[in-house]
Parts: sequence; C-alpha cells; structure tokens
Amino acid sequence: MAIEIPDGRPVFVKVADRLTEAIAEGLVADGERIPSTTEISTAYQINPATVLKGMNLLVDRGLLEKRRGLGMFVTAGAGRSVRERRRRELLNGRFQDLVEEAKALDVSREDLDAIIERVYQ
Amino acid sequence: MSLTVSKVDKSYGKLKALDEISLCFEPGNIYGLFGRNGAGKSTLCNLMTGRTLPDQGLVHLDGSDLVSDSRIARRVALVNETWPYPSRRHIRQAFAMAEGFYGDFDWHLAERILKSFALRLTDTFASLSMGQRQVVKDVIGLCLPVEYLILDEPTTGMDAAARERIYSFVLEAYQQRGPTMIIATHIINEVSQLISRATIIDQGRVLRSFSVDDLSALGTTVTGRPRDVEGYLAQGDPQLLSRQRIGDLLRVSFEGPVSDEQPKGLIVAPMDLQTYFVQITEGAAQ
Repeated sequence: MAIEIPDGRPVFVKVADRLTEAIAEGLVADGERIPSTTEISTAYQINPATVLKGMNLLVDRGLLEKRRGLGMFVTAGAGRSVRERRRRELLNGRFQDLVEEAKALDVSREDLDAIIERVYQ
Repeated sequence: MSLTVSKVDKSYGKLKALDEISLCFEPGNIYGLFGRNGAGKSTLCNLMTGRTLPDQGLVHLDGSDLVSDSRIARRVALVNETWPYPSRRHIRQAFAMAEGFYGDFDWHLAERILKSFALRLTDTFASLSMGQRQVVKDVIGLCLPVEYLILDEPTTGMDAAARERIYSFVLEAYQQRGPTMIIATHIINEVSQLISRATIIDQGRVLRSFSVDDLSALGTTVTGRPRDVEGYLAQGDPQLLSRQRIGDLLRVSFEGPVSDEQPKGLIVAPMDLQTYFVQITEGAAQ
C-alpha cells in the first residue's frame, strides 16, 4: 500500500546506475569517451563531485577508465560484461520472482508458456 | 580557509532567532542550508555577510573577524529578497555597481544567463515580474568573483523550467570560478542533487549536518502489518522518528541505515533528503 516510495539512494549511486544502463544499452560503446563531469553536472543539475564519485565507482568495477587529459572512457568488454551481469540478474532474480508470483496467483503452467511463446516471437 | 560561525546568539525583541549556533563552511562544497519557515536561515545568511550583527559570538572568514574587518565583506556575497540598487535604471547599472564593490564581474556569463531568460541589460528592475527579478538577483551573485556565495531562496517566484535553468547556471558558475556556495531554501527536492553537504537548522540551532553521500545511512522507513513492523523493530533498538497508521498498515521511520536483508511482508526503504528533513524537524517541534 506504499503508493510512493521515495528513492533515498545516494545520488552518486544513481549516477553510477544510469551510466551502467547507458553502457548496457550501447549508448556509449567500448572504447568511447563518456561525457565529462562538467557536461553531466550541468545537463542533469548534479554536483560535479557527486558525478565524479559515481564515475569512480564504475572505474572500481572496471567499466570505465581514466585517460589523463582526455577524459573517461568505456573499457574494452565493458558492454558485454554489463549485459552478461544483467542477464544473470534477470534469470536468477526477477524472472524467478515473476514465475513464483504467477504461481501464487494460480496462473497455470500452460498460460505462462503461452505468454512466453507469444512475447518471445 | 573556511567561513565559521561560533556560538552566535541573535534575538529580535523576545524572539530568539539564533541560539548559540556554531557552523563551519569549508571551501569546495555546495551546501544546502535547510530549515522550516522561521528556523533562522535568513538571519544566519545576513550574519555571514555582516548585514546583521550578532548579539554574542563571532563570524570568521579564514580567521579574520567579518564584523570588524570590512575588506572581508568583499569576499562573501549574499543574494536574498533585498535589491540594494536603483530599481528604475537599467540592470546594467546594478551590475556595474556590484562590480565596483566586489570587482571583476563576469559580464559574459551575465549576458548569457539574461539571454536564456529573454532579459536584456537595458531592462529596468522595476519593470520585471517577480520571477524575472529573482533571475537578475541570482545573476549578480553568480557573476561576482567572491569566495563564498550565499543564495537565500534563489528561485522565489520562478516557474519549474526557470528554476531548473537557473540551477544549471549555478553549477556552471560553481565549476568556472568555484566559489563555495550556501543555498538556503525550504524546497529541498530542488537542490538535493546539487549539494554535497546539508545543514538542517531548527529554532535557531543546528539539528544535523552531514554529507549527502551518507544519506542512505541517515534514515529508514518501514511499512507493513503492525505485528511484522513491531517484530522488525524489536530486533534492534532504533531511534524512532515517526509512527503512522495507514489503514491497517503501520509505517515507522527511524534514524540509521537500512539493513541488507529485505524482510518478507515489509517495505523497507531508505529516506530521501526531503522526507528526512520533514521527519526530524517534526520530531524537534514536539
């Protein structure tokens, strides 16, 4: 019954998540430069130190690398590694939750299969 | 290097606006200064620029007394509800007067901001709407070569689009010249991504002062059936901030972080800045 759950995650974590999403969706490809802290900061009105902290989180995760004087770049293989991680999270997490919830609501196996078949086409 | 307020008292008649308040603003930050109406925000802003004198206590910039050393005043600028310039002259003249006092006004940035709001240097302050006047005041602050810029309610009278735009320029000015900024407002959501540190004051005292990166560790909200919620609370000994019935459900909030595990049947969420602010200022009022 919670209608609105305020998202209280720290802003630098949200920045890191959005960048990860952009890498997963291929908006920035391996080896490409991502926008600078200044560009992101003014475009989204986020404190530049916060933006940098979010980026550094992805440097620690091996998705971004700093190139002195040039900016921040997506590492080789980052896109694939993010998508692979997402795939695992989907199959081990959300997808299983969904099936369990469907089962709890008495959705039949046949109906589930039919939906999967239809949507997958 | 810092702007410090030490044990400052300030009363207006019987009303105690500031009550032995002590604060320190370090360079390189954008601070959010939050408080409900009448919490003492504006008095504090005036004190930090020498526009009001403390009854007791000291205000220092880099160890120099702000009250007795007038040169210090040029290093700190305040944008608030006042307009200490001629209203019926071109705003260009107001900018020139500000430059005369503070030095080295950024005319280029000023013109860009004005243009984006469809304003001109030849407009007169008196002819502008409330929101437009606020833009002009903000422009002055953002274009001055000061070390500390205090913005007291910098979006008064502006529509949502204008507020977003002015905050983009706030960040631009911050990144170009890098003044330490203190933004006093009661509209917290508007600046929650902009600031690096937050200070919450209430009844003339500091309630909390923290880095926004620590936010998820500050407070937690738990919603669920009363029995489950009580059971969850019994596991620890959290400092409760609020307790609210919503139909058959119970929602409580408490200080401290969210535990990693998500208990079944409960919605556990970290508090955002606005909620945390409301909770602790409500708690303090009771």
